[in-house]
Amino acid sequence: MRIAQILNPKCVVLDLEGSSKREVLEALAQPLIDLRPDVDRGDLINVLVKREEASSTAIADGIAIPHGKVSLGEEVLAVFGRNSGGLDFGSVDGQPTKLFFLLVSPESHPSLHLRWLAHIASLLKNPEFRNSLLAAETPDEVLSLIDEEERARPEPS
Amino acid sequence: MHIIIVGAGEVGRYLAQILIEERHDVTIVEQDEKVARELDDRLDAQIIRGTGISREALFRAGIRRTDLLLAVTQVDEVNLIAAMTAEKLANNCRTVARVRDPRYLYGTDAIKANEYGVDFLVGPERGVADQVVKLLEYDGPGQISQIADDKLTFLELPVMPHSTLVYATLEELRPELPERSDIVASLGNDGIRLLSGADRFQVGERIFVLCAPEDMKDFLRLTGSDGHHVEKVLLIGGGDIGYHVARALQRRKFDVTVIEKDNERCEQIAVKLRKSTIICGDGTEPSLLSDQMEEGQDAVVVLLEDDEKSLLIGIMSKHLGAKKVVTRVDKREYAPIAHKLGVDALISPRRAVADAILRFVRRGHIDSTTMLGDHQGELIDFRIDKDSKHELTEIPVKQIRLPRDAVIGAIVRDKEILVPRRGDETLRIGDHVFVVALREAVSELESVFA
Repeated sequence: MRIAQILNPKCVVLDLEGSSKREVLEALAQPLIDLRPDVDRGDLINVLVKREEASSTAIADGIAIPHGKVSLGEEVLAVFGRNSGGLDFGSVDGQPTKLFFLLVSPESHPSLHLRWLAHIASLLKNPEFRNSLLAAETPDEVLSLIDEEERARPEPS
Repeated sequence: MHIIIVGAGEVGRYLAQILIEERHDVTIVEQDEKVARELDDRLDAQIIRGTGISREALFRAGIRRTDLLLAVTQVDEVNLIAAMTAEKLANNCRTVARVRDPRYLYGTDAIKANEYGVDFLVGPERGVADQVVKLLEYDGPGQISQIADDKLTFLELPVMPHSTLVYATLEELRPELPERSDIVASLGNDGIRLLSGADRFQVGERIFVLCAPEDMKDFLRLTGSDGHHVEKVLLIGGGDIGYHVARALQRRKFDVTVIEKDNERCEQIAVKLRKSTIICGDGTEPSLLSDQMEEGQDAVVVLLEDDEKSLLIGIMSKHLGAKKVVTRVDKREYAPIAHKLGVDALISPRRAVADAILRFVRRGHIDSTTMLGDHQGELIDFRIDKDSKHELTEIPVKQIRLPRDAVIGAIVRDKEILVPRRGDETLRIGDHVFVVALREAVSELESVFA
């Protein structure tokens, strides 16, 4: 399981902005929609906003993993977003959110969603890795940092 | 039922509390005046001051009319004599004696219950040792037990930061978890909660999971609870439990170190545990513990008799980087704080005795019961047989009228595990139904399945 399979360099946003939760989600979703015109923008934003209303995916440590399922063929897609100063994303611990991983999965392949969610959440456990993501200067650097972190941990059998 | 409990220590008090709640008529025989007086104020039971080997005390306790005598003092011989005496004096009484010394239970000097006229001898120290070994072999966090003859796995998992359990709601999790697995309840500051689809979990809560053993690995991975593999184990306390754990672990190729305070005991076990490292020293000494943690111990098992010391050493081990900490603590009141401070699993020989006795007391349609949290809830195994109510096997389980605070978690049918998430399954004769219930719902539940 490698994030490079689902994260296109064009979907790495190093200066994510937005003054409300919806705006942040729209900004996060934009590169994915540009890349994949078959994804319905309205549907996607709706799913994500609704999910955040049910309970925030920003838990602690400046991380949020907004996620949802849409009709999308068979692929899982991700967007990485960052705002080094932190945005208000309604996090459970009340702290600003700096790192965002948007995860979008196809409705038709339910079991994929949780596998990727578990993978991303587990990578973000490591505080050094989170700091390196905050310091990265280019999308390619983000991807190679992720790759390194994935290599550093044992492949689940 | 009229029940006499001999001995009001940790085990006796705990049993009394539960049995009184279940509306049994309980009489306690206790030698210590201060303890007896204190109990008189606290429990709705008759208290007789005296020893269990005194005929006079047993008569006063109502031995002639009693249905059950539980002899659970700290002293094995007192328990055995009390049970044997009861057998002679009573008209129709089942007897249970607690035995701690392993020599009475295993090997050439083992006592056979029926030779002494005792119905049930209970000494689960070895069982507790087996449980510790299982906890260390298991790759996940929290607590594991195998139930239904190992066909079903029961987990109590801490909800950890950065796990899927905090990023996804139960509604999102359920359809993606292995088919033969389910999260059945959670334990938080407000006690045990049975779950509905909209639930979400918070860091620090613990969830209860039923799953088929083959699906456990996948379950742990999907919930982000994997990666707690243990190779090097430090045991603090080389008593009977410690020795048995060490022996079983070295056989399973773990790297084992035992710290034991008593010189003589060290020599004794060193001869028998050749593949383990035995350190003669004080395991409660912080510098010794931190030296050991620097040696790269993955897990620490604290088996001291003193609850407070055990707990403190457990917390400290976690703080020093242990991946897994198992601590012996008999006072269940400490459980919430222990878990909060990082202790993965608590084991309690006394609690194990009491639970084994409760299972004996309740037998009938109930095959076994597992306590949840500080006995705020139970996981109960009901057997469906030809004497069970017919309607149970005629309607889908969702139509069975359960008490409000009870849910069916899993059904074991021969070797098969069914998790009735939608409740469409219908029970069959021979099934074992595993029901999770809050404490208040237990007696009502018994009438549903009786």
